[in-house]
Amino acid sequence: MQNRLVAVKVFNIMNHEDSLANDQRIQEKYSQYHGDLRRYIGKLLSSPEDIEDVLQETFLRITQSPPSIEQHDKARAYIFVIAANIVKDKLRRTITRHDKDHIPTDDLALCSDTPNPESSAVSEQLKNDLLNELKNLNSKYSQIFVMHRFLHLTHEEIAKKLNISVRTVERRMSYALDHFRLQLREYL
Amino acid sequence: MNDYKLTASEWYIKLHTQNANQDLHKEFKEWLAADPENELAYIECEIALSALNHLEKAPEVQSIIESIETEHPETAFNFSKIWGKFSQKSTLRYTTAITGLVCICLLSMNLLNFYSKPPTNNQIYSTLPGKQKTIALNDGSIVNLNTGSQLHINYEEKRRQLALKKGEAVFTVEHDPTRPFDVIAGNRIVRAIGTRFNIIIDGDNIIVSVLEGKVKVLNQTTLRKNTIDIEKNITPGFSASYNINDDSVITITKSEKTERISGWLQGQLTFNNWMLADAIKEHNRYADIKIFFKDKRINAMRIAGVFKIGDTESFLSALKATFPIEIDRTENIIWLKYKSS
Repeated sequence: MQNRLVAVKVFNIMNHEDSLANDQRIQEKYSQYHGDLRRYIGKLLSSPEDIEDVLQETFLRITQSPPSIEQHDKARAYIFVIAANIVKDKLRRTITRHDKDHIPTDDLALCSDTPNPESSAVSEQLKNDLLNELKNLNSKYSQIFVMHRFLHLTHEEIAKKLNISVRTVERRMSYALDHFRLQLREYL
Repeated sequence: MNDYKLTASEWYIKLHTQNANQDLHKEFKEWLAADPENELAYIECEIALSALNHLEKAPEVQSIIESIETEHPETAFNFSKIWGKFSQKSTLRYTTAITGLVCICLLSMNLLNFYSKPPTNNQIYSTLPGKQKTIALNDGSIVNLNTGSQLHINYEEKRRQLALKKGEAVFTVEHDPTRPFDVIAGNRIVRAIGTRFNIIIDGDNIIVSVLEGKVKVLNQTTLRKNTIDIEKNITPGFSASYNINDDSVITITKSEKTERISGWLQGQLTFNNWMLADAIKEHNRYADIKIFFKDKRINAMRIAGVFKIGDTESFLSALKATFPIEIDRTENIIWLKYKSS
């Protein structure tokens, strides 16, 4: 029994040293993506503080739960997934705060900026690119998209209204969504 | 980049339809796990939609909404559309045209009674902040749509169905015992036979106030099964309020602040001893210029008065004259500060 305990103690000590070195290795491996990441996040978010926050949080998460070995080939995609997730959460939280409460509390942070509950943490550039894309899309796609997302019609209701199949509505929605999504990738 | 791009958006659309089931979700998770590029593409769909959510007021979106309303008029008998369009442009030019139109409309309405009522399918009306619309329906009913609202109308042989998707409206219902007048609001249906009532959607809370006659508030789900479960009758002077997340509770109370409704119908903000916080919140519903304050002392102040909707300046002047506050302006945001001296 005693031998086993000693073995476990030694193993734990070794692990600690290993983990410090491991952290370093992970940082080094992923720091090569730092520049690209910053450009990517910068395209999505408007405030420099938000961008830094997301970058820091991304690297923190990568270090705390590094991807398993199989995913190392896809390391770049993986770190972008983490960053994108954090951006998505940031945008969601902004929506909740602004929709529910038009009267801000005694929050100094809110008072010092120029709060605009109509926009959000989204960057102006992305908003403009999305609107441009909407404008340039053929009306058969943009109308369906607007009917669903802004007029809140279901796919069935849209199909009935336009006299087309539900499948066609879904295909066109997907086409539009693709075009919007691709606006996020222009960080290169 | 390869084919996965298309698949991500298709996944998003598939998962957000009503038939999305367990198997679909399982397949989706497998697709996500197969390649981090898949997951990235999917998250980007969500981010793009999240960003687009905020752009409803953008001119690009509004012009598409207008083109939808014009390009997809419903049946040959587009009576209500004509009225809808008119109420947007109330210039003198249209006065003579309208007098003529009124005569034709009245005549046509009489003719209608001889023939079967033509259906009004899937019409959508929406208003921007500060704007209102009056919609005359082919049965003689009238809907007054308030600021930032959206209404769907679907009249059929056996029933008159409407859906208030957001905002607020007053419904003046023409008596027709052969066809119930149903307004879907959130998770319930407001049914009237011949009456006048207001519905306001405030986030997740919905309040139905009866002005004349009587309405029933029904549970949407039970209506589909053709049995009526929770059914509350509401009479003039009373309001029913419910939360869209709660199917079990409808609260009936005496209507408060009723002058607010008659106020907005006349293009006025009517405050009868309101807390300033509530008055400002009501003002902001109708205005592009939003007023905020961060001092709780301002919260407790009370205001009484009638203001023209859209006249933010008069409202602010009145506030400044009545209360110890300072006004700070930046573009379309107005901050009220408590004057300490």
